[in-house]
Amino acid sequence: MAKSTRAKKPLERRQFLRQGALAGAAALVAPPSVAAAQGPAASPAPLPPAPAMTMAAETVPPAEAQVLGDNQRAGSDFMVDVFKSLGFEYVCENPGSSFRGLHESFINYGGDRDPELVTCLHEEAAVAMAHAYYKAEGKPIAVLSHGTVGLQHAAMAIYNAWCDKVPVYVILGNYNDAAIRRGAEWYHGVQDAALMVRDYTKWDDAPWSLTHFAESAVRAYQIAVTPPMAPVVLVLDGMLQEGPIPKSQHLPIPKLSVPAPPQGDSAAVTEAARMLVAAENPVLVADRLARTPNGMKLLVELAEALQAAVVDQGSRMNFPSRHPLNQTLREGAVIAEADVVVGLEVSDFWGTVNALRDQLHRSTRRLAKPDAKLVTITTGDLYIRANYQDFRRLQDVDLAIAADAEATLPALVDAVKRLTTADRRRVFEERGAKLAEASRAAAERTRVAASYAWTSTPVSVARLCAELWAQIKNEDWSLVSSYYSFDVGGWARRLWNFDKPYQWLGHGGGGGIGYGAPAAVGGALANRKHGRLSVAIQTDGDLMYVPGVLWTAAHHKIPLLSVMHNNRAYHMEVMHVQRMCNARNRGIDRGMIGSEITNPNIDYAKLAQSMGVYAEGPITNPNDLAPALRRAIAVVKRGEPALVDVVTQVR
Amino acid sequence: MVNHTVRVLAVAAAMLTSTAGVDVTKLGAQTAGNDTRGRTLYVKVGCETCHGPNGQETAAAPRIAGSGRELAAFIAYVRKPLGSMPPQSAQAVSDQVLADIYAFLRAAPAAGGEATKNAPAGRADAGATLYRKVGCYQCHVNEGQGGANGPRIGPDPIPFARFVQYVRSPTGQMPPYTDKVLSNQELADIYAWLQARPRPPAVNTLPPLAP
Ligand code: HEC
Ligand code: HEC
Repeated sequence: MAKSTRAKKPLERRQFLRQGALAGAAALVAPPSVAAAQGPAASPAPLPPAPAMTMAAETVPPAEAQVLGDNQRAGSDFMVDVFKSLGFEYVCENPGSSFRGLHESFINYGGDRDPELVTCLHEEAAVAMAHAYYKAEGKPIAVLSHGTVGLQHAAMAIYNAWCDKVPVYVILGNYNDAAIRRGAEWYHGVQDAALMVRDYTKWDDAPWSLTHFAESAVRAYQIAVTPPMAPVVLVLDGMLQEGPIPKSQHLPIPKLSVPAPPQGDSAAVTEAARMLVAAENPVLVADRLARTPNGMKLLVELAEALQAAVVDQGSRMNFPSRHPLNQTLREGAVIAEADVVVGLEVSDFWGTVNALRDQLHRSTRRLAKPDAKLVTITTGDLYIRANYQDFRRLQDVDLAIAADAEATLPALVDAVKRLTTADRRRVFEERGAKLAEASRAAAERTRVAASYAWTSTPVSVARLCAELWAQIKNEDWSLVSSYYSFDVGGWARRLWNFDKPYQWLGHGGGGGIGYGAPAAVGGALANRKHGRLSVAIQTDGDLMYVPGVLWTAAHHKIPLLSVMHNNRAYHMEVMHVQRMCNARNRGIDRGMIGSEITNPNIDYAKLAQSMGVYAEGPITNPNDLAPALRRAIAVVKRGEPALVDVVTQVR
Repeated sequence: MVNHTVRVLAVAAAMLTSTAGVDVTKLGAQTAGNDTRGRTLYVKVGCETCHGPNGQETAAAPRIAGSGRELAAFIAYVRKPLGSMPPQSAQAVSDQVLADIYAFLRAAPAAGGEATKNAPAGRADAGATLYRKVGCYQCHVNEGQGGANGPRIGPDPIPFARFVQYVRSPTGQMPPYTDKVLSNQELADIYAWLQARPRPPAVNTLPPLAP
């Protein structure tokens, strides 16, 4: 610290001390270890090179100019160049000082265009928006957050994306160098930021230099979008962002090359085709099959070639809801009859062919016939982690193909067509006719079921879905979220005609509540440029986790019709606690304590209005529904969000 | 508790000539179906997967409780169904098992049938409060119309004896209610309220439900 004698005025002295400390620290403090970021198995960390800023401070006299020179770039400007090269359209962010350099670069250097910043009021909302955006658009967007307090908010949403096998590109800020941290940077500083989400992300890195950053940024993208897809994390050092790039430094941007997804082994695919062609009652079960719009086309082709029953478990838009071979309404029936069941990216295959009885003494039984042949095609076999248990129970199968199902379908379709004889085709046609009749009958019974309690108050959920359907069915609509209104078995899925890939975006993946509202806004953001009418069935409990996302929709003019399925409770939990009350046999009429959201009732219309969103409600009379929906849709068509609060029956 | 034993032998013999493919002469004295056994077998054999726990209508299959068919015709149907229902061979499911299942289903005749007469007089208004208070609404929805978490149970609930039996000892996911926490009289009140639920208008008169 001998150089401090050169200090003149107090202000200069403070600046000087900072830089002096910076220089001194460089020699003594080993920055956080790269090895830690790669897990405990890695060998001890070699001493990494000092970050650019620290070296500069050490080797040159303190800079007088505290302003970036003309035509000079900052580290984060280069980062923006790299992010632009990856084609991100948006960055969902909640501002944080640990990425202030990058934030400024996005705005001024990048012009707030491709990517454009989307202001979120909670990191959980930012991640969930990116999650649903991907499913609507087939392209990831980025999330920008503090490495500590921001990531802690984001963690649940990252877990949802992990379970849902969706790439979310998470960028974190962090000041690595302890010698130059400002006050708050100490709470916001961390040795190994990605550690807390490493169990449910596919890859992370904390690059040491800009060259290292460029490679890791491109690598992270490639890893995220290669099936099995998953979130990735990039931790960007604050000083690496803020420091100027020496004019002489050459920084190439690696070319993005997205690997082709893994296709099934050809002998195994032929074997699967043989089993399917020989089967009397084959069933194709799809869950996260349709990665791209082509996935649905391919499944239709396979199903029609075989005239086989299809069950769409609904994590993606896998199969047209009214296709005559769609037997989703009779899933239990077709599984019970099946002699071959093929799971296509099914996350819970055990639960597809077995049932668990949820009573005081739990029991399980096989739903499929004991001799039914079981086949799976999934990237779930390629990558699995230990700690979180989203991989489900092990099901023994007759043929497991470790591959991406959508990438494997063309070969499977070809093999099926090749092996189908004229005799088999006649059998298939008979089977197809029976299935068509069965699905027609099931749809008819479902319509009748929806007519019960038609006029009752509060509004029945079937009525709500039917009224909403009547208003949108002639539009180019997309149901961006219906999270936790029992997505897959819910009334919208049962009654509406879903036949386009973007009309259904699946669900949250991990069951974490607080996905639905931001996912709806993220899906609507993706739909905006296509001019689609985005619709959400918004549950009350879910909205209250991150209600601020309504403001984001208003601020960024994201057109979205949110129709509240407001049953004034965390209803799933009400049912769970009731089960316990019954099993313990000591009082059955207090099960809703702790799970109801009443007294006072929340006024969701006022909540939305307070954030600049057009809103109506609460509606309790079903006859008021259609006119309110029409008014709200008119607002949405003007390019803005609108919310209709409907007080509903439970499910 | 219900434990009817339906004597079907005479009826089965009478059907002998009219029922193709079923050798009802092989239905010996032991084929008197046992309804309690039938209830367990109904689930075990898998009829419940499509027909629901008591043979009511589901999305997958029509109502078969209180079927008008005689035993032999019933067995003949299961051996050689007409539509998408999977056939059951005699090796897989014996005539005796089907006779037991038949007894179980017959003890639940269609609404308004015999068993309903045993229902104690219930008070629908008290039933409305109870239905909510003890949580039936949670799964069977506010008006008993059912949804993703439980089937429709009104109007036309299953016969009272079966209703009580199901609530006391469900065979599926429904949590049981003992008489310690919910009396038969209270169940009768709920039952009366369920019976009084309005029937919906014909589905084709409801434009929002047009496909
Ligand atoms: C995979 C679903 C499924 C299973 C399992 C099933 N059924 Fe059926 N059942 C149906 C369907 C659908 C119908 C309507 C007609 C048809 O498709 O055959 C039906 C019709 C019937 C009928 C005729 C109804 C009438 O009055 O016309 C009877 C009787 C019957 N089932 C009894 C049974 C019994 C007993 C079992 C168990 C051994 C059983 N079913 C198992 C789906 C099923
Ligand atoms: C936690 C959810 C839950 C609650 C609470 C519940 N049920 Fe059920 N109930 C079910 C389910 C699910 C079924 C379908 C069969 C099964 O899985 O047990 C069912 C079936 C029934 C059946 C048979 C229906 C048929 O079609 O055969 C009756 C009757 C019934 N419930 C009555 C009641 C009554 C009365 C109450 C309140 C005292 C009640 N349930 C509370 C979930 C529930």
